[in-house]
Amino acid sequence: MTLCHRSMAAGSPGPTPLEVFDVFAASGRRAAAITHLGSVPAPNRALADIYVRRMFARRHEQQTLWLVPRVDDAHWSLERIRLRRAPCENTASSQLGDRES
Amino acid sequence: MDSSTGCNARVDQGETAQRTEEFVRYLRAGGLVEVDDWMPSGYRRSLVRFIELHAHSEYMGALLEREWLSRAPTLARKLALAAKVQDEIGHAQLLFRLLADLDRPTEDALEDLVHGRSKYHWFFHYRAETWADTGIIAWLSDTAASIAQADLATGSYAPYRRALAKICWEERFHITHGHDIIRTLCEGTAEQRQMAQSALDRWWPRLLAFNGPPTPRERDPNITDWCIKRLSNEEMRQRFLSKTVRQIQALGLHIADPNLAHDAATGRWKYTEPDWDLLQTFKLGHGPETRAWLALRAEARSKNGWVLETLSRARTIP
Repeated sequence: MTLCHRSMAAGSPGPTPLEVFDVFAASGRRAAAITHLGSVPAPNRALADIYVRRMFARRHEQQTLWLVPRVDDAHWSLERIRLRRAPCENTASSQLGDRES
Repeated sequence: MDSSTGCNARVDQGETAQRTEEFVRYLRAGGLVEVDDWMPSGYRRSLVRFIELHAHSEYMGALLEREWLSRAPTLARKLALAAKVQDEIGHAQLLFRLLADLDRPTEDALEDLVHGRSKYHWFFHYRAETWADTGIIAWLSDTAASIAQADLATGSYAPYRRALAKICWEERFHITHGHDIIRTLCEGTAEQRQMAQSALDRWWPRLLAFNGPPTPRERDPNITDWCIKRLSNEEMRQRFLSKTVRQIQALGLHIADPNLAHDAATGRWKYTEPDWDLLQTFKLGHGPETRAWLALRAEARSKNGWVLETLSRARTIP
């Protein structure tokens, strides 16, 4: 049984590695802000969809969810944009991001 | 980095004392850290240790209530309890994903757990003996947990904060669910009131220990340097007592601690000190039910492995 295992990288024998899907939502009072809710490992998009609905919207707490297959680091930049645009969260964070990028 | 592993954490390159100091200053000023930011290895280790203990506690804690799913007194209670157990497992899943992104694969964490190499909270090394125990656990341990989690949700690691927002939201219904179970018992027959009282007597000393030993703030690097948490364990316990003692008494229940009193002069609660040395041994695998719970987990992992194996072949299904 494997959810996220380095030894199951592409090319190794055994079952197909699970893909990671990142989950984003625009919800609540700050409807304009897109937030990274988390991620799920799943074999394909259809199963990821079911998993994400159970994990993040079982009580209809989210109206819209975005599911993004994780291919590279690009998904994190969305979260950075949010942090940069919301100085009340923490302005210092964007400073670190600037220095690192 | 292999994107298929979901392990995004950067290797801690270029770590120097000066850079770490700068990082700590940044955290103390309220700075937030994302998974792909540079972080000192000490910060990463503390995060992994902390979040892993939390993940395992959610995962193992669900077992105590799961045992009562088939014995819940009404269909409504059964549905509510099933939803709560599902929530707790969901919390563990969220947290395991955070660990995977910090380069701690879920599989390794679960292997370490079932082989007793990884700790989980001592509170969950017991068994829920009666239906009232599930009420006390849901009401009071989730109150203690939500005090800790609301504090952690203001910590320095942004992905953990976001996961905690969901966790805290769900813990709020759990508290209401547990309180409702105990209130119903307290309004019932003498036997039902006695069941609630006995459960409280059993769990109170454990609840008092829930937030951990009274380590001084200055000796907890998670507070002083890494800003993963802000309140000390004792501050959390004081909040727990302020929140719950009067609620418990309002239901006509008695807290069997002769030393429990609110000192108006200092504004603090006094209580009988828990046996910290004994509780530390639980984490090392010597709790009353530790073996049974870990065996159950190991068995479930081997029995349910086929589900994941089947799913992992689903990619080929059109």
